[in-house]
Amino acid sequence: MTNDKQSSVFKYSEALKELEAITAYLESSDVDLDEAIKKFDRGSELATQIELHLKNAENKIKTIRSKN
Amino acid sequence: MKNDAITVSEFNAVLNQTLSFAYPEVVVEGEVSGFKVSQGKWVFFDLKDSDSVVGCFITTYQLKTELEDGMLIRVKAAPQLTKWGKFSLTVREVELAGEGSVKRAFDLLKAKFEKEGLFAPERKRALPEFPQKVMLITSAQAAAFNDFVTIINDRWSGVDIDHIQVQVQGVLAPAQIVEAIIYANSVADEYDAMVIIRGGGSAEDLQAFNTEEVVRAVFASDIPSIVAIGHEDDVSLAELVADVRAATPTDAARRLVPNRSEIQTRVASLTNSMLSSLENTVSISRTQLEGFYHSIEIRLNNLRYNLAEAFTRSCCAIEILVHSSVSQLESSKKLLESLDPRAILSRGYSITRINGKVIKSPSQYSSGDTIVIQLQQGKISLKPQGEGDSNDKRQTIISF
Repeated sequence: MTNDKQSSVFKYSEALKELEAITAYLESSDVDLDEAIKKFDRGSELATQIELHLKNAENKIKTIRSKN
Repeated sequence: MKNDAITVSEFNAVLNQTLSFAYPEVVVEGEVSGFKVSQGKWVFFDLKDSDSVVGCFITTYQLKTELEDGMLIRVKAAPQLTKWGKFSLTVREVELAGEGSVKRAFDLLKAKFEKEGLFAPERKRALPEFPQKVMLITSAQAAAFNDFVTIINDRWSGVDIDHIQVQVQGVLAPAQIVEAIIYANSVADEYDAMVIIRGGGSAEDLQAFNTEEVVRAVFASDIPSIVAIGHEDDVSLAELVADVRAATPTDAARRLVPNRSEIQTRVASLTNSMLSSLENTVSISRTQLEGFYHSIEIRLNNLRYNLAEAFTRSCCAIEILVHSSVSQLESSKKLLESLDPRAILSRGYSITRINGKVIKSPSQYSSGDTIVIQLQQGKISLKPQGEGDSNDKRQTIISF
C-alpha cells in the first residue's frame, strides 16, 4: 500500500471531527439559518457515512514478512 | 629430544587446534564471579561451581544481557588457551539460567534505562484514536495473535493490519523482533501504530522482550508503539519503553481501536444535538420574524395615528382659520357699515354739498351756488329763486 491510501480510505477521524465542528457551530449563538440548514445536511451525510462504514467496512489482516 | 621440541606458540596452536576439534562449542552453566569490563569493550568473568572455576571472555558487543557476580548463567563458548598460557572460554552467547538471574538481569537493565530516561512519561506519544493501518509484530502461531485479531474484529471496522511473523522466544527472537521494528520504521509513514504482542510464559520465555536490543529498537521507533507481553502481572522492559503499555494482547486490541458501539452512540448524540440546535435556530428565527412583523405593525399603527392626528389638527386649524376669517369679516363688515355715511342719514343727519363737494362751513357758499342736501330718502336741492322743479318728489327745490 502506498501513501495515497490516505486519500482513498474513509477517515473516521476526519469525518467525526467535521461532524463535531458542525454540531459546535449549530450549538453556537448567532447562527445564520441558511448556513445552519446547509451544515445540518452535511452533518447528516457524515453521520450516515460513519454509520455505514461501522457496519460494512472490514478489517484486513495480512502477513507481509516472515522470519520462520 | 632436542629435535622434537616445538615452540610455545606452536604448542598453544596445536592445543587450540585439538580443543577446537574436540570441543568446537560447549555449553557450560555456572555462577558468575569476578565480572569486569575492560576499556568498555572486553568483558572478563569466571564461571564457577562448588568445586571449580573457569575463566570466560566475551566482547561487550556480543553480550546481550546484564551480568553481575552471583548470577547463574549458561554460556555457549569455545575453549581456548591464550598466548599468555591462560585457559578460558571464548563466549559467543550468554543465556540467563534460573528465575533469580533473569530477575536480577531485568532489574539491572531496568535501572540502566531509567537512568537514561527511556521510560520517561513525557516522551510517550498518544496512539491515534482511529488507526487506519497498523504493523503487528508477533508470532501467528501464538494464542496472542488470535486473541488480538478477535478483539479487533469484535470492536472495530476498517483497520488494515500488516503482520510480520517473528519468533517470540528463544535466542533468535530478539534479532527478529528488532529487524521487524526496523523494517516497519523504514516505511513508518504508512503506519499509524506498531503493535508488539506475546502471550504468557515463563520469565525465560519472555526474556526476548527484556533484551537491550529490543528495548532500544522500540525506543527508537518513529511509529507510536503499543506493547503487551505475557499476562497482566508480567512486566517487560519493552512494555515500559513503549508509548502505550497494555496488560495483555487483548488489552492491546482494546487500547488500539475504539469500540464500535461507543462511536455509534457518539454519532447519534451529535446527530441529536445538531437536530435540536437547528430546531432551536428555526424557533429563534421564527420568533425574530414575528417580532419583526410586530414591530412593523406597531410602526404602521403609529403612522396611522400620527396621520389621523395630523389630519385632525389640520382640520381644526383650518376651521379656526375660517372661523377667525369669518369673524374678522363680520367685524370689518360692521366697521364698514358703521362708517357708511348712509347709516348716519338714517338717524336724521344730512349731508350738504355744493357742486358735489361736502361743505362744512357757510363760508364755502357763494352766491348762486346750488346747495344739495342729501337725506336718507333723497336729496333736496336748494337753488336760487325761480329755478327748480316742484313736481320732483325726490327733490324739493327751495328758492331763497
